[in-house]
Amino acid sequence: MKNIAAVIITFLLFFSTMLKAEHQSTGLIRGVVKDKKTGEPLIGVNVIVKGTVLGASTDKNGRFSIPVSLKKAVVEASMIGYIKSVRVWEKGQKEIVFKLKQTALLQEPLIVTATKSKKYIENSPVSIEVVKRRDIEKRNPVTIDEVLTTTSSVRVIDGQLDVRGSTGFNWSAGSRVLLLVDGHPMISGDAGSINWDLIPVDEVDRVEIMKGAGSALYGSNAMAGVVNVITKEPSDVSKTRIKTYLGIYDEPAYETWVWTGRFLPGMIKRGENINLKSALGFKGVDITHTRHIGKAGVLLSFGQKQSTGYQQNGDFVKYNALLKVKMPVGQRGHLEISGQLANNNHSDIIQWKSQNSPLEVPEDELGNRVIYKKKSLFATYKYLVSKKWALTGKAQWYRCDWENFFSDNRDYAVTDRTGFEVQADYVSGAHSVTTGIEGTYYKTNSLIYGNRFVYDLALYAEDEIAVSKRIRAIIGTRYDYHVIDVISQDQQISPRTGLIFKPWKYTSLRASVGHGFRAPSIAEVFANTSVSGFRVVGNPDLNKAERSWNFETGIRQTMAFPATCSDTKFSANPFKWFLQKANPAFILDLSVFWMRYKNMIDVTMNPEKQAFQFVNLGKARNSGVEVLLKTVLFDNFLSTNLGYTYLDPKDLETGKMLNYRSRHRLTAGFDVNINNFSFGMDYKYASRIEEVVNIYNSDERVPVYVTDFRSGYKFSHFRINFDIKNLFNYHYVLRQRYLEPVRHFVITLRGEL
Amino acid sequence: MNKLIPVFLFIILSPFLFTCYNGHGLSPFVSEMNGTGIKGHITFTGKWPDSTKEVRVAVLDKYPEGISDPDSLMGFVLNNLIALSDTIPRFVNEYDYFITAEEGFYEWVVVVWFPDIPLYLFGVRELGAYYSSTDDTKPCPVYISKGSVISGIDITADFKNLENNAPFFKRNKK
Repeated sequence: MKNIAAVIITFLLFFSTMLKAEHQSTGLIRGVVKDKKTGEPLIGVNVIVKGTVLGASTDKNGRFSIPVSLKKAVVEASMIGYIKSVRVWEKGQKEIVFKLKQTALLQEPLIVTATKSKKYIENSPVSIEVVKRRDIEKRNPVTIDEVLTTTSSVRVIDGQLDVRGSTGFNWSAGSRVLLLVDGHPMISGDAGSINWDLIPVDEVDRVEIMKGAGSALYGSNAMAGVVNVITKEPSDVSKTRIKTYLGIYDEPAYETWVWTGRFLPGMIKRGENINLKSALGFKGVDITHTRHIGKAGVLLSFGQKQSTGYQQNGDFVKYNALLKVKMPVGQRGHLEISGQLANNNHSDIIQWKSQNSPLEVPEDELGNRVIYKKKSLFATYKYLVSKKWALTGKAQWYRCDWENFFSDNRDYAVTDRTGFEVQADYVSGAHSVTTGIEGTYYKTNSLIYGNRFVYDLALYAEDEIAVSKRIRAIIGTRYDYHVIDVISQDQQISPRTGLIFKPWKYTSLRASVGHGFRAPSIAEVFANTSVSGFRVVGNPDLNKAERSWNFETGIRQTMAFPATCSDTKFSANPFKWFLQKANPAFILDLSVFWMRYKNMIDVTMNPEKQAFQFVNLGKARNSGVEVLLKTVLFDNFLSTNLGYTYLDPKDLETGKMLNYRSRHRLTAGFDVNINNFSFGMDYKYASRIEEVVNIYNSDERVPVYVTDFRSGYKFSHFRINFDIKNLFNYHYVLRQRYLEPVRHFVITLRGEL
Repeated sequence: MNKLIPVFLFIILSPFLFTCYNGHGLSPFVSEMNGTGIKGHITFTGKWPDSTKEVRVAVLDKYPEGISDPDSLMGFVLNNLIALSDTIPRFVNEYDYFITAEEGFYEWVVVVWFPDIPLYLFGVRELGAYYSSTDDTKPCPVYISKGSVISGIDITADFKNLENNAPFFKRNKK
């Protein structure tokens, strides 16, 4: 412990020395970015000074300014849908004018998750998928996890994230995928589970999904991936956004499953008087206001959601609020503070009554409720020390407070997660170094776990080297020291290395090897409870972190066939004629991955204690192939996406497939845009889950075939959507005895003033 | 371009609508009309105890001859359980059951009682099993041929069997 403290002090002294050495007087690069064709200013363009850590985004007038201490600089402006442009700036120059030309190429935004610094996606050594704002808005999700499952690599069971088969179903204890919100961890301190309620869906700008081990930069929980939710920035101009929606549940496909006369389609069929108030459905409203107050950008959002559920004990009332403030501090600093609140009062379903009554719960579980109160406060301070150095300080506090109101269980827990991080970015010549120190302290007062604490301390460093114009290499490692209450301590070293090779302009080959780990959560070690016939006992011997080695290689190809001016006739050259008409652009991404786990933590039945318990299992392996294809045709008239993931997750001790995994996952979708009208569909397939925890031998499992339909019409400042989720009313389970949503219809009205 | 719109909409929508529909997935337990399995009549005797969580019919590959300690039996049951019926409604005196099971030879068709304790599968006891009319010393095996439903697998389930402080899965002879 003393050695670790010494390392941390040395690290901080090093930073402070560096700060003094690098502080210099400033100049200013000013400029404007416009659309080459229309001459309109472009908002939100990324402008960077190449070879430095300096950069800015354009404001509502397309203008930017970057403080520098240089005589000469190479400045690059980039934005989705435009070809990036480079200009040389010299001291004394009044301003730079960028005129960006539109491109038919499909592009992804700059990402921040792969290396903790802004990067083009093709320069990432690991697979990254981005769910953009447009993808979220057109699907009208109630919580953000609904959108993530439209990619083949991601699945969510009971709120728990599974990237490429990393996770089965563990009653939400211990996530192998780290959820970040604006770079801050958003997993509960007790179970290490993910809470989606705190994220206001309409204020999400994009979601970056990093697949594969992220422990080299992010430590525990990132052993199989990182999902980073980036929220919208406060606007330069005063804006108010409002979204309201109303949903109605359809009856299940089988009459014997209809458990109430409150299904609206049933009321219509029977010719009864329609009572909308009692109909099974859901509704919600989200209101956001954003503006500048002085130099500070402010965003305030409030949301309320209410549902009767489609099954017994499915009702909930949820409130959430977000306040985000971003302001400059001096010429070189930027401070961002965000606070989130969520209250969630919902009934709870452990298991259905029977397969003949899957929308009902056992009588003694009727009225079981859980009340959640979640609060978080995040602060990020960025400081440009010089053209080469930038410092980022982060602090976070996250409280998760829940209590069961069950007939047989009154467990509760109040858990605080407090953390800090100091990150330094250094750019010099061919090297871009990211290094930092991170600490987290978890404390819980609870009936279910007792009063416990856990803490982590970590140091990390990674260097990205531009070996040549076509080759980039990444090498880095992280050291973690982890203490679980008074019972155990553990140390982990998580190295990572990767290579990116670009043989041609739009082709990127990647390969990476990384080590991942996940320390057991408080819940997995200490949970002692019994509920609805299930008893769970703690396991103080669960003192080993689960570990993994991850290997991945892949190729990313971007391609466009711009229409030529010549008007080729079909009879002359059908292929050229089609290309001319279709003007296609696509992104193809192919990955092969392999992961080997050691000391995997999973739940198992302990016959001696006659209870379930989390234990370190033996070795496991997960390998697979993934293909993603996105296309745009006919100048955005039609866009399509296709994703396929093949998984072979195997318990090497038993030779069986790991529990709750599907071998094949497929997602496909399209969108058609005709002037102000649009419509589209999403299709999800997952093969039958082959293995489950063997407690209900008789339960049936079926493959997943779910189709969603959406349509929308834009008028003035508003957009109205009509969606049908689970169009064919397909019934399936992802874990035993919990029927996923039946067909439902949703009308959404969204406006921005 | 406008002329092409219907053509492309047809090209896009057709495969979706044809390939995306795959019935309704999970269904209620199949009835004996279109399934393979066992059906019969259960007669309950004695009083349903308040401590009942649920009662079901179980079909097992083998009969646990010679096994008496609870832990071994637990493992035996988990390894040999072929099918477990839906929950039988509480407090009934009689019940017609149907249980889906594939073609095969099954040594033990048994009515099992689950106590209302916070522990699933533990404390489970036998209320009665299927015996032939000629031999009440050992449960009678049932053979299900391909595509058939074997009827007449009637069982008497006696709650008095719970009074015996017997180990797990008390042997109950007719």
